[in-house]
Amino acid sequence: MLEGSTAIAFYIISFVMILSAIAVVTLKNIFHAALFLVLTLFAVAALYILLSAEFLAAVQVLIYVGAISILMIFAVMLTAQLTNYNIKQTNEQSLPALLISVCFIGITIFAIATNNKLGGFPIKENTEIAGSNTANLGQLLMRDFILPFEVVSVLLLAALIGAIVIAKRDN
Amino acid sequence: MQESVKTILENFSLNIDLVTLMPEIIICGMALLTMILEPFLKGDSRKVVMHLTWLSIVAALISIYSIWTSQPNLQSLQFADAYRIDSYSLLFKAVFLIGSLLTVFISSNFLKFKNVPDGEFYSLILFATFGMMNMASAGDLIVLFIGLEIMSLCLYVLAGILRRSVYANEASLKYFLMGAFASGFLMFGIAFIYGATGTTSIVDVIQSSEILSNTYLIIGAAMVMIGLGFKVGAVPFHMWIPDVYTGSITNVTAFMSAGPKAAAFAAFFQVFIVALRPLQSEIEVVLWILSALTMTLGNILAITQNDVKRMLAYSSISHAGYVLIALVAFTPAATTAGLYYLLCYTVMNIGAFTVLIMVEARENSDTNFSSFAGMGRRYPFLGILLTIFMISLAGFPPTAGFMGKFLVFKSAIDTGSTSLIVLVVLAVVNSLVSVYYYLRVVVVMFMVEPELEYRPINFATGIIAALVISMGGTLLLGIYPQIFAFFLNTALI
Amino acid sequence: MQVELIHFLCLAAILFGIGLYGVLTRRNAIGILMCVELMFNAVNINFISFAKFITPDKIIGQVFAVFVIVIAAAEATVGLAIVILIYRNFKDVFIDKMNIMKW
Repeated sequence: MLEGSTAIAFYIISFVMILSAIAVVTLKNIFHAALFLVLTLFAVAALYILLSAEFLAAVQVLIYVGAISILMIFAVMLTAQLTNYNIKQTNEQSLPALLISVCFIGITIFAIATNNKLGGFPIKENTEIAGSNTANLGQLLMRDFILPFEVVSVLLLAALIGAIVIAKRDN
Repeated sequence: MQESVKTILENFSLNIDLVTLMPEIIICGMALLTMILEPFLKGDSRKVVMHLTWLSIVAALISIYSIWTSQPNLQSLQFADAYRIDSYSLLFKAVFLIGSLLTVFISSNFLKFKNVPDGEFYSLILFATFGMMNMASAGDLIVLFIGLEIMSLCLYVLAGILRRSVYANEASLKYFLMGAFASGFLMFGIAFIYGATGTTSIVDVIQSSEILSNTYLIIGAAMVMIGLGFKVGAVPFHMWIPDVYTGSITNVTAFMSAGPKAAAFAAFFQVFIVALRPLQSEIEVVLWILSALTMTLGNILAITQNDVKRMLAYSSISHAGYVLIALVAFTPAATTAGLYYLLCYTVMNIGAFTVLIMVEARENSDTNFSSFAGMGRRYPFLGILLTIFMISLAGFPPTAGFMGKFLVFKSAIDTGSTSLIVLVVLAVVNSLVSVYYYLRVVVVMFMVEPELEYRPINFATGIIAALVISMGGTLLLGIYPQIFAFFLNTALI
Repeated sequence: MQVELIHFLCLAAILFGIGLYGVLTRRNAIGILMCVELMFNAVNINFISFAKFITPDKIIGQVFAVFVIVIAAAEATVGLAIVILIYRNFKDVFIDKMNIMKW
């Protein structure tokens, strides 16, 4: 449970996150949408700090903000004329799509809230490691999750090879 | 600090047994090796990559067989319970490897015909196979998910490997967007399963949720169902399949319809039969609906197709529906029968695709029904082979398709539940309907005169090897159900 | 004011829903990819808040979040490579214009 100033911080962060996320999905200019994506990702990183996941907050900023968003912005710029304001960026399905996503959000929140009311949920908080979790995370990665940690390197290699195969020019 | 590290290491054992990991090591090692070798090979010596690839797959199959025979009741949890090797996962891996082996055989000549650079192709096939093996053996949802992603990333690239073709581009993009979207749902579901149980270990999920059943688990199950539903192509999450299967180069389509589909089902079995068993009654209802919709809609849409490749794409949707029956039945015998069906489907479907590739690999040819005109008269032997594959896909004795369907249906009826019997009746009706579009190819092949002068078919060594293996498999799995006895002590659960 | 697990979960659900809306309405492939990234971030918020509130002594959720970030990076790489390839061939990345084959 978070109280006091952290709670206020949570509401501010959520507000920024949701507004910028809405901007990402609705803005006409795809370049601006990409910039708002950066803002959303920053807000998510801030949220990680509230959740005492400092390492992940740093990773979020480095990889998501520093690499993935930049990659997106590069792609937007390489496909330059698409940033033109006159091109329609959304299709005609906005009403059914709105319905689907509102239903999704509604059902999920309803389910979460009813479960909470029933009180069938054990919440235990370990105050001892309220501070940094990074050492804990490192030990888990190197012990219990050593296999996925190794296998994910194969994933990165496969992605690297795949990207080169797809994007290289024919000689 | 040093003291604590020492105690950690002493109290902790990864419990790795390299012998049982041999298939994975061979496949992953060879995937890396082909990448290293490829730049050094020029001209004709490039064939070495292809030969090494199929040899490594055969080696992996042999190692699976030797593990199987030397340790019949293998139950080994490795890497701190993150990796589970048992006879069931070994057989799943054998299915993936057979699919990959046949794909390699049919690819060599076809890639040259289509002017696709082949070095990376084999490497990607091997990486995808490695990902599938991880899915089948995953003891933890993390491993399952990473395996799924390795497989999917390779498939997105393979779908678009024919870079100049706009069809392949479109297939690749659609597959990628759908796949990423599905991954989002899958992860959202896994997050809630974790939230409900406090663990991501597949075995632990059952134990903890026996104590703590709550709505989180149901949200999680629903989301995972959507995510995996996309991956196996169950209706209503099937819309990407026809386009991706039709747009991709045909040997990749053959690959996608076999191994990756089986792997997605392996994930289905792992999550819904092992991990989420407490939710059995709810899951059964949803899967029943999915299964009924999938086989019916797949069949109806397949009837209206004029392109054999697209017809096979829709037929693969309906076959996914039949395998889902095994999941609805939820018994050990049903899981075994489902696995047997996937093996049969892999063999007979790649067989059909092999003939399709032979037809497509002629000058100015495509995959329309008209391309098959007169083929049966000119090459009666090939015509008979394709007829057998089609009969098998439709599910007639004495072929693999019949045996697979029979065993799945039988396991479903043995449960004695009325809803399952209704589902089986529906499946039988669907099988009868499917005869129409499968035999249509045969009719065109034997009864219709070719419109143009007949173009010769090229019989390459690899293609013949693939034909022999798939035909042998189709007949053996159908005629000798004793092979099924081999499977019997391997039920999941 | 108190913030509990449920608040984080609701926030994640809203973010996921916004991403879902974007995927369904965007025409531009890069735009869709950005919306998918929103969904992945919602997933990560879920994982990390479960890690804090459910299993604070064994933060598996954070481990999973690390992998989700890696996978998101890998997917973005391959996805953008595909987008660039298509742009080269079509001079266009609008998904609904790609209807050579019926959707």
